[in-house]
Amino acid sequence: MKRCLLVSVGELILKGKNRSSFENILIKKIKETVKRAGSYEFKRYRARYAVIAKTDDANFQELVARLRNIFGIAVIFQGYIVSRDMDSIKESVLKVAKKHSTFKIRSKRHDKSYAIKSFELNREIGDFVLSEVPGVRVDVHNPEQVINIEIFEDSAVVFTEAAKGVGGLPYGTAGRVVSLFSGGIDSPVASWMMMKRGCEIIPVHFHTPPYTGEGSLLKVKDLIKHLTTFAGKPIISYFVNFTAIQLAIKKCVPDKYVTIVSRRFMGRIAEEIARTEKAKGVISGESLAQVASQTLENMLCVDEVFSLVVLRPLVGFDKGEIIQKARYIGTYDISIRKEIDCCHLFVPKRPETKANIESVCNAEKGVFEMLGSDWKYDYSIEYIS
Amino acid sequence: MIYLDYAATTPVYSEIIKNIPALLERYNFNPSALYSPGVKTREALGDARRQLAFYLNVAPENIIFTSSATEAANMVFKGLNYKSANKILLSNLEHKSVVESAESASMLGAETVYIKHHREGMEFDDIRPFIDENVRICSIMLVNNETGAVNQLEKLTYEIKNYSEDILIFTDIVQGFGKMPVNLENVDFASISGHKLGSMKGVGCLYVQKPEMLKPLIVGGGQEFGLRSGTENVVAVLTLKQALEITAKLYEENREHLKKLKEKLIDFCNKMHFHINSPENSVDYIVNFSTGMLPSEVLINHLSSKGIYVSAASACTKGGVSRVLKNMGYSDGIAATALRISLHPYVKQEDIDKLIYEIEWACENLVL
Repeated sequence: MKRCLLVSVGELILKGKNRSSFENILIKKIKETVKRAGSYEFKRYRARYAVIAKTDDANFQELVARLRNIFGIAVIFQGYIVSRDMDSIKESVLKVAKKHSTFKIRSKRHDKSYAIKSFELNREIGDFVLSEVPGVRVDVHNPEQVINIEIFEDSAVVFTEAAKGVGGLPYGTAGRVVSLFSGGIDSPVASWMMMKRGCEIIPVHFHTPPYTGEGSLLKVKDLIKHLTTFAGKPIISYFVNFTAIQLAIKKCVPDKYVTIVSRRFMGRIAEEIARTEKAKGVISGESLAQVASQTLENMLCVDEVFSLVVLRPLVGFDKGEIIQKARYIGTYDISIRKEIDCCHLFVPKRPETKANIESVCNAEKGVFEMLGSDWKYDYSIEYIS
Repeated sequence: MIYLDYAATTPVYSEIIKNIPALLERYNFNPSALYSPGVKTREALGDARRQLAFYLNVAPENIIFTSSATEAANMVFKGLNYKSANKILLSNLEHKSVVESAESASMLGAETVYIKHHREGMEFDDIRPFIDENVRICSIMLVNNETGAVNQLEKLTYEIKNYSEDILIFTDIVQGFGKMPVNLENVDFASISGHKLGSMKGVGCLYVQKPEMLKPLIVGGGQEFGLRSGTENVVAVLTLKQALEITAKLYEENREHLKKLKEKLIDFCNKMHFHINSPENSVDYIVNFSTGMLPSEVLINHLSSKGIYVSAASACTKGGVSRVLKNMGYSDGIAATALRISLHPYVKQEDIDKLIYEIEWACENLVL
């Protein structure tokens, strides 16, 4: 009898001919994660992948915690690989069955030559659990625990659900995108949601020293560091010193256009970084009408500077939903950390809510004149892990 | 690096850093143990206690080592019995460690009463209207950590005790200990922090005149005369002892130097028409002023980028400003643009010149 975890993929099952390319990336990720956690072997059981402990002291709890963060995994089961005789199956069932709960046995014969049919197996093991495990009751419709028994050619696998995975598609399978990353609540959630759809993210953070301090940068880095637990690898991140541009905007642009023009300049820089990094899109954490600057008209004005696809995964979410998501991801507590900065000095008192491209372009002419046609910006790149 | 934030913490003196490995090796034992190395460790702890007591002119049995001055304040306000009298009188300019621990004593039935007073410090006349038979304890800080304002501790405590012997007196002497004379004759409790003097972080002490008045917050092995259980951090205590020796000598020998540094800063503030928040009677090693034009954080960030480290007690986000300056009656504009420069004998005139140059530059170039 060997202890194991079984990993079940989510929507990868729906993939057609290119399924194997997605699967190979996921398997590689699972193997890397497993390798970091201890001594395990890896075996495929049809649509599931088994991680089998090589030693008795394997820390499955830690392994589950690591695996559940891998995009592409829908469910993680824990259980035993045993020989196909009834005694062994019963012994392992006793190990996984929860006391004082409702349960259901779900058997499946992948090897149809196995003498006992699935419904017979369900009945026999069900009776066995009822007689041996205290306080249990059968509930076939809505059980607290499903005990799965699958019969293969050379062994049987008995398992129950240990944790839900994050689902989605393996990280990096959908291509690269830059992410406008502020350090607030929204942008880490937006980044995570696109990571979940298989995007490899390249966060771009704009800071305005000395109006923002090193504490704010640390917060951003901590947020990105948290996202690396889902990426499973270091995240290349850009930190753009935006002060000179921001001051020029503040000086040359009517107050109500300051936010829109700032975002357009950030967009231009993000687009340039995207091209350098061979990224195909830009993530923005905007949610429609959340604040005055996030109206359809204003989004249109900002989008005008992009030739790449603009991804706004939060556009239809309200703030409560975003916060709930941030808590689930684990970024909320970092995002709300109070880091003192004075970027509010650049926020207009009455921002334009219905800007049109013509007037915004007119407003930013002075900025181009001040910065010069070959305007540049300082930035640093960090591999955050 | 130009460090001008000594009121926040004094970096551990290099001679102490060098000595720490030897101390760790020599006193690597439990001071309660019966065998020789344990006894030697206990002896070292006792020596440190005696030296601190000698410096404060009190008995060693009245010195309780703690993890910090914050812990010392908590031990007092949460360790007292408020059955016969429940009022805690304190200035609204006290340090947060005192305000918060006094406030938390409300769960024991205590009631805090804040005394407003003029910017130079407290007078007995400010306190007297609040005194009645319900006053249990009165808190008077020696040196204000934000402005450097000095309270006439000796005079005030004499006047209070003369008026009513029943009133207990707590004093936070963190910013004055080792740097100026302190008379604890009429004081019942005093809190001290080690790292403000240049010791390791995580060590402080409480002076307590009558230990039996306090119910311990931490119980266990009965260390520190039963008032603060837990194996003593002997090495940290020894660094506190050494830091006190160094500090007392340095400040004594450099009074004139510190005075000149302060004068230079004050002259600069006057030239720039900055608002000086430190009162006339403040210590020479803390100068607080407001530019009136640059949010504190912008100036701090700019100075930090030039390797000059100062602080402000304000937070410019979400309208948060220095509580102390606000309670002194200053406007949001003053409180949000304040800077605290805290000095040390090691600070050179050239350091202040560089600071002045950068502040001038910032005021010319960073004001939006």
